[in-house]
Amino acid sequence: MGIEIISSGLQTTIQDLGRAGWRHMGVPESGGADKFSLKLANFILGKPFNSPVLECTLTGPTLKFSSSYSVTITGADMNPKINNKEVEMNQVIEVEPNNILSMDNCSKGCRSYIAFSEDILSEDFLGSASTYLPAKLGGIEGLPLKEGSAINTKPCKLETNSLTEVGFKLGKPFENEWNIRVIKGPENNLIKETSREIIFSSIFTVSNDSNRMGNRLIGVKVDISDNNEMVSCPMAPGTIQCPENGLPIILGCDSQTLGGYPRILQIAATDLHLIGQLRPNDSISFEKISVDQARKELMKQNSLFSS
Amino acid sequence: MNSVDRFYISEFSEDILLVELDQAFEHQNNSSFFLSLSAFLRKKTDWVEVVAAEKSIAVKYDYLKITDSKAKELILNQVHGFDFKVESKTKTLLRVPVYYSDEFGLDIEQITKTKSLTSEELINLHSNIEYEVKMIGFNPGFAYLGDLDKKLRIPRLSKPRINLLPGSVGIAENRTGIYPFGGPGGWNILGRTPLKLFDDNKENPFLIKQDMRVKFDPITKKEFESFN
Repeated sequence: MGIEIISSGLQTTIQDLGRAGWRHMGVPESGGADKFSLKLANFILGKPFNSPVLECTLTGPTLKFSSSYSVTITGADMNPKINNKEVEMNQVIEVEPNNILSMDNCSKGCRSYIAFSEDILSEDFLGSASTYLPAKLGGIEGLPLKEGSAINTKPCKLETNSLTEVGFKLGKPFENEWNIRVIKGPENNLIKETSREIIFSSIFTVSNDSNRMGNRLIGVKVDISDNNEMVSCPMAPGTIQCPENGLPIILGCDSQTLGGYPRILQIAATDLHLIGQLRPNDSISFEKISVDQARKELMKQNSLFSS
Repeated sequence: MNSVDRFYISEFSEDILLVELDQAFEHQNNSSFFLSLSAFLRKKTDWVEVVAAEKSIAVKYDYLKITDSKAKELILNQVHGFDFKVESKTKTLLRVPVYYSDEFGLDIEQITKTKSLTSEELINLHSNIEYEVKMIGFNPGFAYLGDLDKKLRIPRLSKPRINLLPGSVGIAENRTGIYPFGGPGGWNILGRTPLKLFDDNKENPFLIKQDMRVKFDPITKKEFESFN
């Protein structure tokens, strides 16, 4: 069974929930940049959360199916069509042999996730199928899908899941303005007095120079006290680093495990998946919450899927 | 360890704690202290992830299983049981055969020229030292080994190469290292090891670990080719 790649889209890779537990060996988690949408796609189809899916970036692919599949598309809306007829996001779509799924650009959000009723066959690296482009690992030869190639799949068991509660949460579609909750980072005290309030009252713009490794922000310069002592420190997805130029960088799921810039803020884990939906020129503002509050929100979010 | 007061535990995120040392503590500037401590903590099965950097360790816990205060308490108890002297004695020595040659050592010619060394001198300077693992990061499994002999210290390449061969051995500043998977890299390449630095069939598939010392052994082309 297989799926032919008629066109690849801007950057379509195979992703699952990533390879946790290897950061000490310099291996980032990777996995879907928006793990909430990735889990949702699998959940709607009745597959385990960690099943490999396709992550599409800004422009989606065109796929031709060799046999019947059920398909679910979540995340950013790239106007998916089957044989030129529009289909719904966040639903189970039935496709017949030789049907063509085509996707366009999205204008809100950055990444879509396509899950299939059969399991995608890909290369396992440290227990995950996730494609890690910087070291060309996982996925298919560690690369984005190529036009003219094919994905092979094998049948798998599906559960029936109820969408009521998760569906409610999904009621809010993506916008081009984001309010992201953050907690203090370890070097928060290095932010100069004059910049402390400004960070939370100003609006930053997502730069073009953004990818799965990180999102660079443009906006008011954040003044950081000189700290010659700064040495390499552990980083995590969602860490907001601030180099001397005062322009913060939000680290993504493929970011390196260690880094040398002050860690001024940390994205609350409950909002981390939204970082995967930031697109160039989007606006972003930050809202400060306590770490205890962030932990409560995270647990609340986790319970959405436990049915 | 005399006192747990020398350690600072703080919250990095909802489920990651940072372990740092008192500024005045004698091991504060010794990066191998943190590597040893991280290897020690990793052996305890309580943690999701233990990542060492130069002067701190990030410990990730399962927030669904233990509370933050319980995690802090547990770490303090564990670091209390850590003895740097004992742990550093148990470091194993890994011998890494390297075929130093222009064939794989893309930068040997350039380095010998700028440093006024013969290739033999260069090979000796690089292979005579037992290096310590200083840090693991940047690329999967990439270990920063040091310190390199002063005579060999050169900056990284101004333009990184796009596709190095797996097992390429490079140098930059006071560090040397091996690219386990090849791929992009900006270090000056001296040669290549036939050793497999990553073996998916092993429980820990990475050959170089935090608590190791590493020494390079020069081998011939014939030895390189017949190595299995």
